[in-house]
Amino acid sequence: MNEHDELRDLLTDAVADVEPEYRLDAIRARTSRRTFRRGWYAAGAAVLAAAAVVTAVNLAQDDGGRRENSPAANDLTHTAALYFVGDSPAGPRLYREFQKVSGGPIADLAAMTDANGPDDPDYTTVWPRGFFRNVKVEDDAIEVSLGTWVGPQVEATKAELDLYLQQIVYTVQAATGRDDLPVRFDGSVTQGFVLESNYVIVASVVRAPQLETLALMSVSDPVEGLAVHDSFIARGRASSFEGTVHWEIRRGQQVVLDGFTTAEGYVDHLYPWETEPIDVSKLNPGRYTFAALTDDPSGGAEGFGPFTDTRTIIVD
Amino acid sequence: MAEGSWTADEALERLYAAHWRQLVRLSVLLVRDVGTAEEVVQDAFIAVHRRWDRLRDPDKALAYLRQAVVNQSRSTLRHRMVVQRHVERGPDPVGEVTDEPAEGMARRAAVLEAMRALPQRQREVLALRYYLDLSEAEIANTLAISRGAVKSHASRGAAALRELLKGDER
Repeated sequence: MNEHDELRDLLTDAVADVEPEYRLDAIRARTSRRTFRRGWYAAGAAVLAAAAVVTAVNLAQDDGGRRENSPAANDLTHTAALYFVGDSPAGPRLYREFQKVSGGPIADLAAMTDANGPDDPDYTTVWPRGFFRNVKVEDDAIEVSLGTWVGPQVEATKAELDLYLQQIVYTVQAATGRDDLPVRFDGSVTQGFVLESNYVIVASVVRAPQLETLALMSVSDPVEGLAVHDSFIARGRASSFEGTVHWEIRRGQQVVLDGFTTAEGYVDHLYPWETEPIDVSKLNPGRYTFAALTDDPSGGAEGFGPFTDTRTIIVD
Repeated sequence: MAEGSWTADEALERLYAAHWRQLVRLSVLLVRDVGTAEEVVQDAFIAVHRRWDRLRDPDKALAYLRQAVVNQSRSTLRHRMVVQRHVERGPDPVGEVTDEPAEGMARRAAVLEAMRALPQRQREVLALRYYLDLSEAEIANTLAISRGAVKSHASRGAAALRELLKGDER
C-alpha cells in the first residue's frame, strides 16, 4: 500500500465510528421564519388513503453528482433517534433516546418496538415486535407497511393512541430525514388497541407540534449507565423558561452537585443545550443519577412544575 | 428538478443528506470532540443557507461548506481552552488490548490525538488531502494558501503524524 492510501485509510478509520446526531430540524429551525405547516391533523380521524402516484425520490443518494469519499458511507450502522413514551408533569409524553441501529429506516422502527425497547427504564413502548414491516418515502407521505399485532390488546384512550402514533411519526421522520411528510399506513395501525370507539380508522398522521408531544426536557448525553471519570459534558434538548436548564447529580435522594446552562431558545420548540464539562473527580465511585430540569419560575404554583429527564451514571 | 432551481431550503436538505455526516467527521479530525464538530457543521449549514442566493450551485455550496467547517473548527479550537492532557500521555489505557473493538477504539483515539498534536495547518491539510481526497488546488483554495504551501504542509504533516503514531506503538 502506498503512503497516500495508508494515510487515507488511517484518517478514514479514525472517524468511521462517528455517527453524528440528526440536526436537520435544528438547522431548519434556525434558517426559517416559517409559518405553521399546512394545518391538518388527522390522527384519530377517519381518513382514507388516496391512491398515490409514486415517484421514486431518494434524497440521500442525490449528492449533486459528487461521490461520497468515505467508504463507510454505505455502512448502515448509525445512531438512531428513537422516541419512547415516559411520564411527565403534563402526562405521558415522548422522550428521544439515541441507540446504535443497523439497517435502513425500518430498522429504526423495529428498534422502537418491544423487541428491543428503550435503554432507559423510565421509558416504555406499546408496539410489538415485528409489527412494522417496511418504510417507503414517497412524494406525498412516508408509507409504513404493517404486519399483524402479536401479543395482548392494549386499552387506550384517544389521547394515548395519538401519542403512540406520534411515537411512530417522530421516529420514522427522524429515520428518513423527512419531517415535512405525513406518515401513511398500509394496514391497520389500530388493530392492537381496545379503543373507546370502534370506528377509529387511522390511515395517515401528520407530525404534532413538539411542545404538545415531547417531554420538554430530554437528555441525549450521557446515555443510560455511562461510566464517567474526571468529567463529562451533558447535552440534550429543552423548552424551558428563558432557556434555563438546571442539572443535578444525585446520590439516592441527595443532590451532590448542581449547576445550570442555557439552551439556544425555548419559545416554539425544543432547543439544544450543552453543559460545560462537569467535574466528577471529587465524587466517590458509585452509581449516581444525572437529572436535567426545566426552569419553573413559579415554583410549581403555575403550570405543570418542572419537566425532568434522568440518566444513571457510574462514577469510577 | 434542475439543480439551478433549488430554493435555499431545498439546497439545505439535499446538502445535508449528502454531506452532513462526512463534514462532521472532517470536523472531528480537526477538533476531536463530536459535539463540538456537530455545532461547527450545523453553523456551516446555516451559513450556506443564508448565502444560497449568491452560491446557487451545489459544487460551489460544497466548497463553501468545507471552507466554513475548516475555519469554524479552527476558531473553535482557539477559543476553547481544551485541556489536552491526553496528548502528553498518549491514549487512555483501555485495559488489556486483546479484543478487536477495544483495539480499534484505541487506535482511533491515538490517531485523533496525534492529529490534535500537529500544527494547525498540517492538520487541516492532512484532513482535506487524505480524508476528503481533495486535490492540491482544491486545498489551496479552501485554505487560501499557495499550492507550494499545501505541498510542504502535507509532507511535513504526514511525517509528523507517522512519528507521533510510532511513539504509540511501544
